[in-house]
Amino acid sequence: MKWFNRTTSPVGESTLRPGESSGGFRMPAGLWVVIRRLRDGLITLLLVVTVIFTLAHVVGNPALAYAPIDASDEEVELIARQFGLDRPFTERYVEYLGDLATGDFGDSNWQKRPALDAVKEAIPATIQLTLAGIAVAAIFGALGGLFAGVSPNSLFDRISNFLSIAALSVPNFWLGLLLIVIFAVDFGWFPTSGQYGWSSIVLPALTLGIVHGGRIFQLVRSATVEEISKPYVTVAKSKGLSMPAVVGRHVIRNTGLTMATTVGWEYVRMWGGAAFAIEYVFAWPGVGLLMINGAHRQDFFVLQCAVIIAGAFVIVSNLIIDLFYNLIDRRIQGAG
Amino acid sequence: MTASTSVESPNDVQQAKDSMWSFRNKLWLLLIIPVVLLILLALVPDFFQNHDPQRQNLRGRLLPPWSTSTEGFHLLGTDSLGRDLYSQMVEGTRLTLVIAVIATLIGGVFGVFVGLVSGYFGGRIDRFLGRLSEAQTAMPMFLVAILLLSLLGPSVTILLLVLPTLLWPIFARVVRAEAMRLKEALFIEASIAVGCSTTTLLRTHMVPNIAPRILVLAVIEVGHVMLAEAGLSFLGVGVQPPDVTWGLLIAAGRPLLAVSWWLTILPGILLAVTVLIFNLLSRQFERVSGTAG
Amino acid sequence: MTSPLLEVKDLHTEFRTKDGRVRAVNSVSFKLEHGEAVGFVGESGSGKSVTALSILRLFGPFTDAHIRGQVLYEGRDLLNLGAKEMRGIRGREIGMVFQDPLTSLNPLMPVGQQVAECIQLHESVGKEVANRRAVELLELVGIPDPKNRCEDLPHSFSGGMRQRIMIAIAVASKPRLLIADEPTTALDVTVQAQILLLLNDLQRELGMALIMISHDFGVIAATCDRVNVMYAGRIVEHAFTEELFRSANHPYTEGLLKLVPSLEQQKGEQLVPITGQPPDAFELLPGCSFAPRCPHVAQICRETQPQSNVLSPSHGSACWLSAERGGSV
Repeated sequence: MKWFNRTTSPVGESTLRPGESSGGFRMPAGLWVVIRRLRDGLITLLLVVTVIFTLAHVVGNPALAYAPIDASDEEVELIARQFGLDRPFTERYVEYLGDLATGDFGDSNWQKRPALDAVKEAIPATIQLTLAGIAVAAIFGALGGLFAGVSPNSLFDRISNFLSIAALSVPNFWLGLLLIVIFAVDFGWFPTSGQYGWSSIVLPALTLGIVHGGRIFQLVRSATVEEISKPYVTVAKSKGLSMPAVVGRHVIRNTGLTMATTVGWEYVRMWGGAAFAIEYVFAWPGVGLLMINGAHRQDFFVLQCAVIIAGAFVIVSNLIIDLFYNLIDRRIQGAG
Repeated sequence: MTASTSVESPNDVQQAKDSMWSFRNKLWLLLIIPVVLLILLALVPDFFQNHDPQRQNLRGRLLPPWSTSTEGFHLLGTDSLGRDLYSQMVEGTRLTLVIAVIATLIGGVFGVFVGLVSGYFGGRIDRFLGRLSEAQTAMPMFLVAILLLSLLGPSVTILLLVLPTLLWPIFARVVRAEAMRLKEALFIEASIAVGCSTTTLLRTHMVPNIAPRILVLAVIEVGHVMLAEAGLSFLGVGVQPPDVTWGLLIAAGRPLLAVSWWLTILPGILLAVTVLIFNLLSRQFERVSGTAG
Repeated sequence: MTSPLLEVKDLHTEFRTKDGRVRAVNSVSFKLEHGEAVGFVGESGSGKSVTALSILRLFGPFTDAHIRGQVLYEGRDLLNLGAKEMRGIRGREIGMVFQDPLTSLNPLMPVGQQVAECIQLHESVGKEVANRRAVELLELVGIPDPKNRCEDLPHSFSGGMRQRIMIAIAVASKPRLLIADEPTTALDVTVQAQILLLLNDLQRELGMALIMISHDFGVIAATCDRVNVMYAGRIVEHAFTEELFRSANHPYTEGLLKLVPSLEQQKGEQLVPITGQPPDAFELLPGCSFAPRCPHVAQICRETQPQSNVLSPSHGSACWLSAERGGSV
């Protein structure tokens, strides 16, 4: 064997650099993780879609989705045959997947246009709302949690801790209604609903921000408290650093990742339903409002499209956050 | 019998387990009282109501709290058909609690079972169940629930099937972690013990050790399920009239928000306070039983 | 005769916890001259570390610590200083080296920065100057290739190297007093010797006074001119190091010294442990704290707290029987 193929030097030490394997194909360890996560994400998405399809076509009567609400039974049967809904399950399933892949989510009975168009139109509004909401939540939660964590059992800590528990005990839709009653109806500062100009985003964003901020607060606070109990903080103080400096330079460095990923998770949670309920409360023209109205009108295609799109978004975002966390974590452990 | 304390590392001093009967803990015991009250409201609503919740009084519509109509005194006002809000709220207690508790039980039992099997047996079973639970957590279950309920028709039964799916992964995850931890200790015990069967082992050793944590989790999850049910009912895909839950009451009051705020706000306060109490109780259990969450 | 660098008078430190009050340091008094090295020796829980933390008032946010007495550093009572002035003392006048270098360094900050931070804090110098000084310091404490390694994170160094970095941080601003709290306990025996040598060298070069805290007599013997023996929060005996080894008086000190295996021991001769356990910190006995474990205990020992008997200008022992015993090992 040639000398440059040996993976151990004559003295027995490994000649490989960190990250190298002795196999033929050199693949950075990180890439496998990415691929595996992508695969898992796709499987989950497939699962969602399959569950929807199965339930719609097996348990419910899919023909009803195509028929107008007042159709009689014979008319429904006719429609079923017309759309080929009496074909075997697997055949329909494959066709369904094909449709989804090409962007055909069916046509909305109610809106009289492809469901995907309706959903696409609504997405920007939801993005606006969720971004505004997470910004508020981050301020309340991440900053609040940090300040509370560095001065545990102080008055600020006790009060804000209690408030955060209260915040996450509250039904978010009710909170929205409460804010409407107080600030829009009684004080008249903000519009009660709809998307008109800057002031209309305040109340819905605040609603989201309070509830999700409460959860972020809890996690950030406990991470911060744990961090300041660590010996290196005492050491930093022994150098003569003031508490704010210790926090700013040392603690944030160590809790920063936790804070960022917590905020990320909460953002994803918003898309998992919370933002949608708020859209309904405030008549905010986003995907959520569309979906709920679709549910009320028994419009299956809009419902399905919204769920799948939101689901895909949630899954992809989870993936991104996961990978981001892994990447930073790896850099931290692997460096040096 | 006091524990010997090393004071070389003063930072540890605070983290000691709370003693069972300190004053602060007695204060929290007060939280149990509202819970008992709620249970009573659910069991014997008639005793607490001063009106028939269904009885309409078209002459006494939309009365604010603390007003009197021809029917009598309305503590919390009346709705658009003149029905007493307070009595309706009492009426709604039963269904709200029942759904929340049963859904938590179903989800909890399933989750605990999966967690035990997963944690104790490990290997391929663990990996498979783990994938399953991960996949489900990655899905926006709330949205899928809305879809399901709207497809299959909203009803209490369907709700009781759908709600547990939202929470079993949490139970499974916690129980699995505990089981894995205990497994290490138990195998040693088991090898000393004389031919203990697996089921007996699980039953008599694992469960009592895991039970406190399960209880802590269950209390919090009942609160979460209540919020979820209220949300679904509010959105119109949960409980339907003439059944009454707090979530439905909030929804019912919504169209008249500007003129009769009490119809929406008051049931919401009840719901929020209840969930808050459950949250606080759960934290208290945590502290007293000495487990971390 | 110059005044001492540090004079601690009647220091009491009490922790208030949910389970009650703990008196960790009880009536501790001692002096430290400029450039002198004094050791504190005793078992875990004897209050050695708490004494050091009390001097610098470094208790964590969860600890409700009440410190009474006087800690006179160059005449100023540290216990009376405001927060800002205290920060001027920490790091600049008094530096501290902690026990476990792994957890004492910020895992996510390059070591050079952790050293430079200390410099920048107390002297108004620019970043480049501070970084250069940091590299010099790392070299001083014996880190090989400091210029490149100052970018590295703590976990890429061995335990001994990390402790050297800790020392570099502690002496960065040339303090007059260095407190070392069990600096070698977490290290291998071979590395221990190197670290102690380093501390000695630095002490000489920088003219620092040293407070060395350890449960290991060997460490104390290697570094200290004088020794204070602590038990249950009190100083039970104090003397010059040699004096203590030659003629220890207090029964506890005797017991400790008997535990140190020596080359002169006969093969087969057993080490005699001190029977019993250190006292429960919550229950303070009326008499001498060592009474339950003392082989020479008398009735008076159980009843009244002994004062320190002066055996010589430099040697004191808090024992009722010290005069009769004279003591020898």
